[in-house]
Amino acid sequence: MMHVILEVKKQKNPHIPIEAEEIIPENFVNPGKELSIWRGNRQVPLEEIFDIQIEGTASSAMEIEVVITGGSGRIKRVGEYMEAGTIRIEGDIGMHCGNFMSGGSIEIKGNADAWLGREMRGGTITCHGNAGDYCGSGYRGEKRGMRGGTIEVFGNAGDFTAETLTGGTIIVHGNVGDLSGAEMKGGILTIHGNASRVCGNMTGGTCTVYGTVTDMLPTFRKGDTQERNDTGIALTEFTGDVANRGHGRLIVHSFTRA
Amino acid sequence: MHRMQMFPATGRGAAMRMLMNSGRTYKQGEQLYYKESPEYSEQTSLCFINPIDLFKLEIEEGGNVEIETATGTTVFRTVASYDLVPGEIFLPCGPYANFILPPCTHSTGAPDFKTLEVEIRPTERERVSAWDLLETEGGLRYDLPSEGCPTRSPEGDKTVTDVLCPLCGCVCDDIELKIRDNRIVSCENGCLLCSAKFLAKNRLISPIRKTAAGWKKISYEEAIRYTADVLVEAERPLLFGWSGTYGEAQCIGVSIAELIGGVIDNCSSECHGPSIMAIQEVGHPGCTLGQVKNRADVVIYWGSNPIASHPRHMSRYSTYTDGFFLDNSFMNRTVIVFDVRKTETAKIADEFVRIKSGGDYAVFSALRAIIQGKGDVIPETVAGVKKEELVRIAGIMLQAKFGTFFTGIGLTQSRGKYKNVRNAIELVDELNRHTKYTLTPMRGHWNVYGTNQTFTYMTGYPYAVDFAHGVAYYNPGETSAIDMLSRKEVDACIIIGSDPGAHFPRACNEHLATIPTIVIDPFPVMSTAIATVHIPVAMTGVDAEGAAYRMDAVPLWMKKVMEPTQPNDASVLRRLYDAINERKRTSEMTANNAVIIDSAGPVNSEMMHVPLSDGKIVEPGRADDWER
Repeated sequence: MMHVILEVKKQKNPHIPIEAEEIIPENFVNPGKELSIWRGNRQVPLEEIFDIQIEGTASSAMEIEVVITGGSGRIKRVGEYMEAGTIRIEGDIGMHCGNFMSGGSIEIKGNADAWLGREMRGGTITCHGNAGDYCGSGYRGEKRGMRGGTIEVFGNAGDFTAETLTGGTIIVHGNVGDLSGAEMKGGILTIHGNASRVCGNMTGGTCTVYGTVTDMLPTFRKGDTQERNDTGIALTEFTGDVANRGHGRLIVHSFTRA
Repeated sequence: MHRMQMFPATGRGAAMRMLMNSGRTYKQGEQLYYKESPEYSEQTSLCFINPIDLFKLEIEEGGNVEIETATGTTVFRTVASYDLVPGEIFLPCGPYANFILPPCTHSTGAPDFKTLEVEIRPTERERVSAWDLLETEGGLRYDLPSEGCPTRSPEGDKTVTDVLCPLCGCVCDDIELKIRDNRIVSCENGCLLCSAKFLAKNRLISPIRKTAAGWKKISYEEAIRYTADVLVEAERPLLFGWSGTYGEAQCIGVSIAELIGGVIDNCSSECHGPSIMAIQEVGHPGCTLGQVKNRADVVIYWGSNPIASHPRHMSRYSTYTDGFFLDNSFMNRTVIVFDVRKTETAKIADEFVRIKSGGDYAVFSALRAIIQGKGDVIPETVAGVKKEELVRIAGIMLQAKFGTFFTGIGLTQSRGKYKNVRNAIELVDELNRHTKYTLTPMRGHWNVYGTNQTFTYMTGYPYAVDFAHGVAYYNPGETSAIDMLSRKEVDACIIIGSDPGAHFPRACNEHLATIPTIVIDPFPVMSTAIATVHIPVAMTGVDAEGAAYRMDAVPLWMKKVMEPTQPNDASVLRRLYDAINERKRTSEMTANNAVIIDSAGPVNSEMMHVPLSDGKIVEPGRADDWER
């Protein structure tokens, strides 16, 4: 088992974004490998941004845990395209964490910025704080977003959460922002808090909101209301979005109309 | 401050929570090239409000109100207006509305210019001036008397016909200008906004630089040298604006962005960028304005008020114009307006549908369902519109032989942003199963569509293009100007052909005021206040020429009517490109001797002290000196 501890150094201008797509467990199998990251438009060696400590050895990415400590809130693309192993982030993390990941796990103790797990294919992301906008979403103009894996957010998630969700599971324990689940095509979105205008234009998948949906869209066909045995929360099932093909399931506890 | 403490004792009405929308009024548009004037401050510090709300606030029309958000508070003068529903106010776009605007864009690039919750209360305080606001944001006013207009007419006095107007996306091409004594003295055929721009003469004559002792004139030479030094050092430079300049200059801008590893963004990121994001998702059912003029029998303006923003749009391309395939076109065209307030356009439309602020998405969805024959699902009202009204309007839409949607920033800047436009396009899609429908965004600046065209053919992306890694990357919300500035990541900025000082949220201007910011513009603008250097240039359509794209993407050549005495945008940018290239080559030669990867550049505050002058002062504003 190998532990790679990356401690963020104090930056001269802490606002300049850092893009660190090379921080994935695979890249530490060979500790001699030179890694570089981008600070603004400057490509710099990993050592310039982090104090690096490596303990133990590993023969594959599965045996590697990368731990990021310090002010990592502006570091983008950590875990992008990762296939195996573990990344643990002690604080906050910047945008695009876990983009396209297909395996392994990422744990974030703080908050995650926008596009957490964008176009994710597999693996697990756990965020103990809040997630930004477009959590588990797709890219601009893309028809399909997240296709597999699991994202669990214990805080709130921002606007457009699970936009174009096509597969996999997203669980948000807090509230989500406006237009979450927009253009959802498949997969499971579970929101334990409140939402607004959820699942616009959805064509498939299942979304459950245990709180209140404000400004519920007019194009969902109301079905039965049932008491759920396990939670005791009354839930009403809708199908929609009938403005589109309307094969999605939207299950909500309560709602208000626009 | 003592007045603020006084106000609870005045016995006036209590504070109220209201919904704010901001946008163009034609009086604000008329003042766009006179921003230093008190009239601009007057016209942008108004608050249009329903008399019922004035009554609730216990003030008379004309009384001042304080409007507060989490971002700030400022004072407006009330104007009674029955066009608004109670509970909503309308503010002209400009530095006052943006002073209280939070920079959050919901990761879409465009902030909440519309559907913003505010608190409003009566006040005894007086309004401040636009320059005062910019100084609060960290700027320095530029209020030196104008040195006049630098244009020359070698042919003497003359009348020029068929001039193209460099103001709004209509790019009208029938303007007639009279020139006397090297100045434009009259403007025929143009609208109020057009005449105001052509007749504006308070140009900046020489480059200026901000110093501790105020503004100081510098030479073009120095200004270029400073700008090149700043851009080479920067780790996250931003080149913003571009919609007020012509295609050739925009192309050089893209090359500079690539050379310095910068981000190049244009005004669409805060106006119709969301329309483009929607088009990237579901395509663009567009057509030229000629098609609309000659064929459209149903014209729908949605979230757009062309009488204020594009005053001749209706008479040249839609409502009032003769159509080749349409008999008695004025009588036989149906005009439908969807808006949150009864705008000037709504008042002359055949049908006006008032939607609750932020309810557009739901109305599009409902119309789509009705047209698909699934109207049974729709509840009795949708965003304040009765179901039977929607069914009736859908019927009118379906009867069209050729229908067209003109969508405005009422959709792109309100809640939901690009998803509103996407839903509009999907409605057009639905209507096209029955008849012919098209959709054209009402692009604002005369060449803002040109920025999208040139950026796309050079980089593959229409705006918010990030070259930090040497290749183009695009993601509005991440690489768009307002987001980058509010996150304070930009460490040097060029503003060209745009005025974020007047049109960006306060937080962005506050950051621009702390970094080297270079403005390239013919006029002193609000952004001058937050700039370190302002480089004046010739004005396209008057003393500079180049390509522009009209709102329907038709390319047009902007002619010049006089000769410049100042360099144009392209020549300033070309000089800048060469200067940066020169510095890059020198530093590469030095770097080859040392094996270290380029480490930290200087931070913001250090960059403010890049030496500007070797003491040599070149007489400013001389073209022959420039062309040497």
